[in-house]
Amino acid sequence: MTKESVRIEDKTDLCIRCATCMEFCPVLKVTDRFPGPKQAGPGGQRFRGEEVPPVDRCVDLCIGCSMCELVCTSGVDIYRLNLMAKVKYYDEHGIPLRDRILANFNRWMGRMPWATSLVNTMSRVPLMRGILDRLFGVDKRRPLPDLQTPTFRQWFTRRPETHGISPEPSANGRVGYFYGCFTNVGEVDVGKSVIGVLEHNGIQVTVPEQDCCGIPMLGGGDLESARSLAQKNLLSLKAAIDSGMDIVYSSSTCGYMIRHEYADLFGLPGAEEVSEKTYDICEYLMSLHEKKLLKRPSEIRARLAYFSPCHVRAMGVGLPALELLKLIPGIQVELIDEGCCGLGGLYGYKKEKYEISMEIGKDLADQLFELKPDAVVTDCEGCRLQIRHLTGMKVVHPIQVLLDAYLEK
Amino acid sequence: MMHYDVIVIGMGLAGLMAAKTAAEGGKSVLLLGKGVGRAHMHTGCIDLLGYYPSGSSVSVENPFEFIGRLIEERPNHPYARVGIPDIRMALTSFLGLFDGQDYTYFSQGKKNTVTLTPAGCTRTTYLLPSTMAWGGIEDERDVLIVGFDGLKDFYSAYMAQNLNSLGKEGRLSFKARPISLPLSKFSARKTAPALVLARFFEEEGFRDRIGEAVRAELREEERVAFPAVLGVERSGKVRKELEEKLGTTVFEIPTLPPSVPGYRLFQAFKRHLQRNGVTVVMGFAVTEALLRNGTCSGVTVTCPPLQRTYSAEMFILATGSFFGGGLEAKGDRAVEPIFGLPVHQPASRDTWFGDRFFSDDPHPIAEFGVLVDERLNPIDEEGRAVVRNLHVAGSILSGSDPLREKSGGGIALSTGYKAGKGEFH
Amino acid sequence: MEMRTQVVIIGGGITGAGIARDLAQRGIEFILMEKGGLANGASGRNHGYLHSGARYTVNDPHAARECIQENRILKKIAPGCIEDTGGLFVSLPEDNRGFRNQFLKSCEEVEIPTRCLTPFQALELEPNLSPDITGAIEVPDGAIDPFLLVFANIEEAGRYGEEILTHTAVNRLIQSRDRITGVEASNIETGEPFTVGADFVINAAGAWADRVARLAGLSLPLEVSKGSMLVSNRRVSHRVIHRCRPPSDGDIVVPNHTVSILGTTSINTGELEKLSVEPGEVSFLIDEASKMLPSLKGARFIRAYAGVRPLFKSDSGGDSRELSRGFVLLDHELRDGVKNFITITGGKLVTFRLMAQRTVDLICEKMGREIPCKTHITPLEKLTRGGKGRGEYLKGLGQEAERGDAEIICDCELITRGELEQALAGLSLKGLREILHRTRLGKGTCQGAFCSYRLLGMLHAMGKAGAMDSNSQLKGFLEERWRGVRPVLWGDQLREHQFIEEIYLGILNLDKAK
Repeated sequence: MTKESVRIEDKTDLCIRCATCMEFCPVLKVTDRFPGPKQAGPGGQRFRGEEVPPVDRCVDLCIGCSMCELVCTSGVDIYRLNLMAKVKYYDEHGIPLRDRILANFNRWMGRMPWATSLVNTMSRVPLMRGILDRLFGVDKRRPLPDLQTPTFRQWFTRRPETHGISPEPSANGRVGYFYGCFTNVGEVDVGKSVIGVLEHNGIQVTVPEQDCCGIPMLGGGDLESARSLAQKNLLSLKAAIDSGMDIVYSSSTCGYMIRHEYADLFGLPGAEEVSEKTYDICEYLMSLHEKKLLKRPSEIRARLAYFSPCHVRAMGVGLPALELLKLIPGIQVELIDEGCCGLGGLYGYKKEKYEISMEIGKDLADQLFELKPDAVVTDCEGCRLQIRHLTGMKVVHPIQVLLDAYLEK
Repeated sequence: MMHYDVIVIGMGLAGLMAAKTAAEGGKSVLLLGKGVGRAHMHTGCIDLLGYYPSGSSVSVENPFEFIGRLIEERPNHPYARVGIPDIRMALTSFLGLFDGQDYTYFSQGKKNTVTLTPAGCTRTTYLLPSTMAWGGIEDERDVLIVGFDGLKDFYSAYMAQNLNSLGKEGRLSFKARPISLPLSKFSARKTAPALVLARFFEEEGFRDRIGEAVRAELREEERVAFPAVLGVERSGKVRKELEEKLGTTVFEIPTLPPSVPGYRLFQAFKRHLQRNGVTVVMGFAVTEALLRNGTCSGVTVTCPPLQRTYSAEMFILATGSFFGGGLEAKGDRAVEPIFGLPVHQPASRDTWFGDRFFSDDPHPIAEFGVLVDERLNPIDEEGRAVVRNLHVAGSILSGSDPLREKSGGGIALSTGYKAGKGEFH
Repeated sequence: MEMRTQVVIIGGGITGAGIARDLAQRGIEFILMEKGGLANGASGRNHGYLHSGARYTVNDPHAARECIQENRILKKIAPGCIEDTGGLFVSLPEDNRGFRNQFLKSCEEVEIPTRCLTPFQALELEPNLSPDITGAIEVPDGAIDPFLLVFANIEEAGRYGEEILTHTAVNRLIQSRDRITGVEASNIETGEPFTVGADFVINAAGAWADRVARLAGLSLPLEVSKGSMLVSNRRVSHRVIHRCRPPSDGDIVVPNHTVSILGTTSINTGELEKLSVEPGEVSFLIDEASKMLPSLKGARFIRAYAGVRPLFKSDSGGDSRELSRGFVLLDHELRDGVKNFITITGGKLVTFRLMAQRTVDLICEKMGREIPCKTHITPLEKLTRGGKGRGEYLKGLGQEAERGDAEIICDCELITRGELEQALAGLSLKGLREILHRTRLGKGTCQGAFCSYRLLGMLHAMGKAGAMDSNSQLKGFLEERWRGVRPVLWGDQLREHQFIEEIYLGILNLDKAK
């Protein structure tokens, strides 16, 4: 990793050792094997240096929720410091094969839809899970999501398909939709709902060329791979923006990566312009609502629980999904705006982290069991997977609720 | 949403109170904070006025009486800007946060309560969480102080020794005896931060084990003190159940920060605000205020790489003193970085501090802050209004010495309340 | 009470400690007296700099040669308190090239190895150097922990309360006709007086040497010069960084584990205790150092401190820097006709062992015994293993759960409970300050604000607190700390200060606890 790869303004000096970050860290909440954000970040940073070899393996236990940065009243970029220590560690020691495979899995499967049913079958065979667990360190207790065919991209390019809604003429502009690799192979319905809602509101949707946003690689400490994916995506996204489109995303994690890290971490050219025109789908729809351009949804009687994903909180846009849900007549929403679900993307799949992951999510699970909602709503696919695994409850993306409201007669 | 009736900047007690008050007045409110505020950095108690004058070593028994005196003698003090009726209203509003719960706040009406510190000395405060109810020094029953090996900032032996010294001097009428339980014996962890330990206390199994262990150590003590880790969401219940298990009175003593009672307080505020439609955006600093002709039209929040501008009719600045970042000390001057408000301060940096850390006279820097009129609108040294639709609340205000007079919480709540009620003229 | 020994050493700094060790090794009985805690004076308030001697080659080659020889010896006998960082003399465009050439030549003459680097090479090694440098010269400098060195020497030499008496003031030198026969002393805490009869008395009292000499009716031409230093929150260079010009104020930055120490000034003073760092010194040090390391301009500083150095005025004038930095051994029999009294003064931390050797050689000569010195070839017991480097602390970050003793007490410097318990073993404690010197507790960002409280709590929990009035200790510590942080209170350090005030005044209410 060369010094030019990333733009770091080291804010270690801002830390006044108040230990606020330590109280909010979900990993520290469940294990003392992690030294905690204060020590892994600005504390450890005072010990790091060119001449000091990266030996602090424990920084790997950070789940990447960035709560530490949000709660810090001094403005220290705690998570960023920890991340860079992790990158340096893996630079020196090499990224494990398992992590490379996990990071690219959805991306590869998106290109090999013909292999889907084989993979699905194998992932249900206990012997295979045992091998994956023993040899690769993918915990066998973690359910592997079923892959879907056709992929979202395939579905979109083979359209027209209607949802039973007639798409209105495109009166309200064009957007490019960044769907993300998990939506593509694992939750096609979320993508379809995005298209349906946008078209219902008179917006023409295109799907620009896109690859994985890069966050699975970044989370595993592979900065270079993440960076090349970023460069690639930016070419396409910038072209889309230059042609007059806005970009929307439905995966809050991809959104965080594109909108925040592409510019702030990598400092890539064009990233800032792209950020300015990239929106969370709920945020985008709320802005339509403020301009009085959003169609009124019909009534749905339901009691929902909305859980704000870490990456939505970290975008600083408030909770547009919550505001959107409140627009639907008849909906009652209970807000859970604290804690981390515990999945952390690929984190919770890894054998050495599975139990930590499940312990972290326990508080959220307890709160949901007490609330007993009709369904749980959250924008992040990782949170949806984790909540299903923890509680067995029905979990949906807010856009799916809105689509249902449009479909109600 | 980008436009609100009121934007509150600052996630500390003053900002939280201002947001609550404005929301209850029917306004749409956006609450912005650079971090999680400072409520969890203090004890969780609300200090109204502990000492007056601030250098006095004898604590005040009746805070309202002395606030009255203070208002007369120090017309620039934030309390003088608010007035006693609004101070009372603010406290009532604050208490309303805990209506119907088994974790509430209490006071002794007209009197301050003198209670214990983790250094084994005493402190004076006005509003306390119900879990600290039996920790007053007038109670003459002996105390067993329970500490935990693995909880770093609470040392029962240290406290007991110092309390017993006070006892020998005749300043306390009870004895204290310390025990320390190894955390590893009761949980899967050797060490835990306070909030984590507090969560353990919410589990019945953990409470049972602790209860048993403490009961085995009890002699004649009729009170048992724990560090303030008795639960997070259900502290009232946790405390009561421990009382039943131990057959003694149980209370909490605040720890060094971060503080669990402070966290509970913050959560109570935040949840109340979100339930009442306040938008809370935490984690990003307001970097600029858009000012024209003495009026503010919006503020810009930096969420790298984006700058988001929110607009509003009225703004409330409750960003704290140097600790909170509301004031910054660059080189030789202190500045208020968002609105560029004039900051009341002595001329040169040499005179900011006294010779001693502990001194009866306040460090001159304590008086630093933004000057305001009776409406909490910011003014300059000549008394002229600076920004018309801005109100200022909390420790950013000039004119007080909260650390020595022990008035921080009271100033935060009362000025936050008044600012939240304020109208745009 | 009357005691009797062969040699009394007055002064518990590095010189006294070195003498004690040498005497013990040569089988000579001694008692060492120090009026405060060990390393009370310059030994506890210096730059932590292990000279290579390069700084003296041009003006004082004799002193330079002594330095490089002792530098090598110390690296062999006390690696545990040394970080072999190396040093760089950097040149800026305005620096005299003539001096640089002279410097290289003089180093060669006294056999100090040097290596010339291009600006590019220098910046590769030290990325924080100013991009304007015109070149750099590498020298074998290092960083050294003077406290560990003092303690290691002392603890090898004798036992506390027996041969080693701290908090013990010498009130009078007992004279019988033309010789010193002993000292009258008293325990500072109890006031209890006692006498010690001795064959020889050594005045190793550093900046107080003149005051001690006056107890025998003698006086020394000592000049006392205050030097101030600033500690930055972050370590800005791996190596010691000097300005390549005739040695003057503010031209050296020494790394010390996780921080860098900027220094120094030289201000004549009559004040030996309660030294304070003036705002003018602070801005001067930052300005000078940031010429070599520009990031220091906006850096956060966590402490300022000052020490006094004694400089012996041999009969020439000149400003205090010009006076010889070499040491001086005064035999008062020859100089003043007073027998059995020796003063050893001047010198640098790095030459302490040689100073001790010469002193004890003289004692042996006066005793009429020939006992060879072995301090240069015997490693210091407690410092044989290399000190814990930053990498080890880093590795230890995640090990809290595995090791039972790994509970971290000092969050800033990652000092564990186990380390503290080890440092406290077998000590009778006179207060926080002594404990703090034995580890890096309190040397980090918060300057002990948190760990002092924790340490006291831990002492109580271990049953080692005795009758200590902990809150007085805590308040005393915070006042002492205040003297160090007050000169650098702006920006982030000021924020930290208010936070500390919130804790000690707001939560603990210590300001009202009398």
